[in-house]
Amino acid sequence: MVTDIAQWLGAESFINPTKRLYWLFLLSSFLIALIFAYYKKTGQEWLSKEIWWHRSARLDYQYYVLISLIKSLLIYPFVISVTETTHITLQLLISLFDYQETLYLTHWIIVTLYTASLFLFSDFTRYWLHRLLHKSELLWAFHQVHHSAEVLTPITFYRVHPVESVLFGFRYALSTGFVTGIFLYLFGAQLSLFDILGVNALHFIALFIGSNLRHSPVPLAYYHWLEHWFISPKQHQQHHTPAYSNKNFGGVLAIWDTLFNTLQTNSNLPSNIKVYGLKAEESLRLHSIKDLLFKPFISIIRQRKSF
Amino acid sequence: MFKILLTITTLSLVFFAGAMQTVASPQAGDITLEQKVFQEILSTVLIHDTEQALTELNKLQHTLKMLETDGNIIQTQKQFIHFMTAWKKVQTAYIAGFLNEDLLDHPRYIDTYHQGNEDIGKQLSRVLKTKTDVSTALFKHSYKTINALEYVLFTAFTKQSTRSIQIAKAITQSLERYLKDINETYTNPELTETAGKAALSQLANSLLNSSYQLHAWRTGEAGGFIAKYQDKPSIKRLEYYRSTASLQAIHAILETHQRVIGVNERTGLAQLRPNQSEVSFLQRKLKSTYTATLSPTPLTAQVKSKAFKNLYTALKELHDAYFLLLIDALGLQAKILDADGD
Repeated sequence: MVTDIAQWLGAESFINPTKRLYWLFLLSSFLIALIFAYYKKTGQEWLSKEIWWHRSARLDYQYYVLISLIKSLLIYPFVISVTETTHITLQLLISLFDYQETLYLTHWIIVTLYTASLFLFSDFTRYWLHRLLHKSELLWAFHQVHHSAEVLTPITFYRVHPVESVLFGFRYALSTGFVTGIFLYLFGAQLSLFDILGVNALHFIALFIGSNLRHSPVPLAYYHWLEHWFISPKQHQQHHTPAYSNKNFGGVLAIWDTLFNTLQTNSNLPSNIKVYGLKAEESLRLHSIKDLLFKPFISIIRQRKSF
Repeated sequence: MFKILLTITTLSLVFFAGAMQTVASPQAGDITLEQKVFQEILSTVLIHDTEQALTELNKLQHTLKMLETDGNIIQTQKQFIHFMTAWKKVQTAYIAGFLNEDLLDHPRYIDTYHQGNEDIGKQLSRVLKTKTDVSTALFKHSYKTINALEYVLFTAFTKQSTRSIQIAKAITQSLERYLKDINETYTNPELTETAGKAALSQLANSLLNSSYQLHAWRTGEAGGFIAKYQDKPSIKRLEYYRSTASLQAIHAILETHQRVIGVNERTGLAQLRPNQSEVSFLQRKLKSTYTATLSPTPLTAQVKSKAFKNLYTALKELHDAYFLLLIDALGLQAKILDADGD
């Protein structure tokens, strides 16, 4: 019961390696920030109360507890699971191509192919769902909740409307189920995953090397060439500015942004980012939990009426 | 202050990495649970069943010798079914090809069910009519299989024909050679001692393939339940329609599934995933399909019956249960609602 309550209120995230707030990922991000501060001879301002106790940050903390509760009690029970989507994919493949005796390949080849495919396809669908959240007026109303943050902290990652959570839940189940279904169809029981603490090894590495810095005041940029391959924390921070919110939709990899012309590297941009949040004209003024939950719906109703 | 923080953070990460390393690496000489389970299945199922098949084959060879003098085919036919069911058990959990690549095609040399479009009966009737030396006449692999033997013993045998007995003997000699190869592989410590997780994966794949063949080939095709033969049932699509022993074959296959998976959480593959609902679900499915094959009526008399359709449905569900177990065994996070695109 105590564990359940801890999970409902979001405390479980700190000890769950599948979550971005897992203590190890927070610790590794902190270490990276320290090293970065040492070399840049800066960093005092990153610990400022102006950021961590800003009204936007305080709203993030409160909202984190509420959204954890909503996800546990109202969303989890109704979102399709990976087991179901994998099963559906398998049934579909068997009905289309008939059952085939499982192929034999060396174990490490199968595991490498599966781990990499899962990671790549997941990152690809993340890119497109994220882009869709920006391009569709209807979905943007919900995604504005995330972009309304005026300062970035790792908790801002969870400043997401429940509707968006549902969409990402479906995205995860569909993409993982699709890839897993194909691999199970081809290789059956030979299939397994390179994992660290039960998390896809590539995903774990991405989380370990500073995913939490994406939503943080630490403007860590990569080399120009590297930012064509991987999204740096600063590239994501640029994405949170009104001027570049239509750039850098990628999760871990920048190749999707490169391929689909939405990449913005940091080489020609000012070193410090001053303003996060929404453009003045599209701002929903989301300053309370009630605003975060309900204003997107009001905005959609107004949009419909204006047509 | 900065240096203190950096040191503490680095030390914490190093400590964590060290702890991970200790948890991840078993000590040299330790036997993993997978290796233990494999050794158990190797001795109680794989070696046991291969030796049993060889014993039954030797008995069949003995009855063939007797047949030359007494002409009583009934005893030989009964012994054929004993041997056939013993072979089905070997075939169901066959992984010798994984342990030794030279044996990849052995099952095909022993059994041609659902392979190619040869009409074994038609071809063997010609072989039986010629006077060519038996070893020359049986030049194709398919002429020396268990399916060819079934034809010779149940369809082509006549008391006047000593040639059919000579052919049957030649077939059993060929079968014996292949089964001995399989037995040598399973009893060779160099090939099996280090086998663990990968060998168990192969074993699980053999069961998965077998569960598909059970419902789609062994019942679905004969009953006209699959698209290719929709509503066109035919006993000739049963695996052993000549000897009317198809039900015994299915029975033997399911028994092997049960022994490999384990009837409780302390036996077979089930030991690897104790208290998992998917494992119990599969065990229950195996039990119910196994019970469904206990009907004494030969399948040849009932392909159009409701009971046969029920058996097909149960076997289809069994195949599904295997897939659900495999999905569960991957241990993927079922649901993630983090907005990971942000």
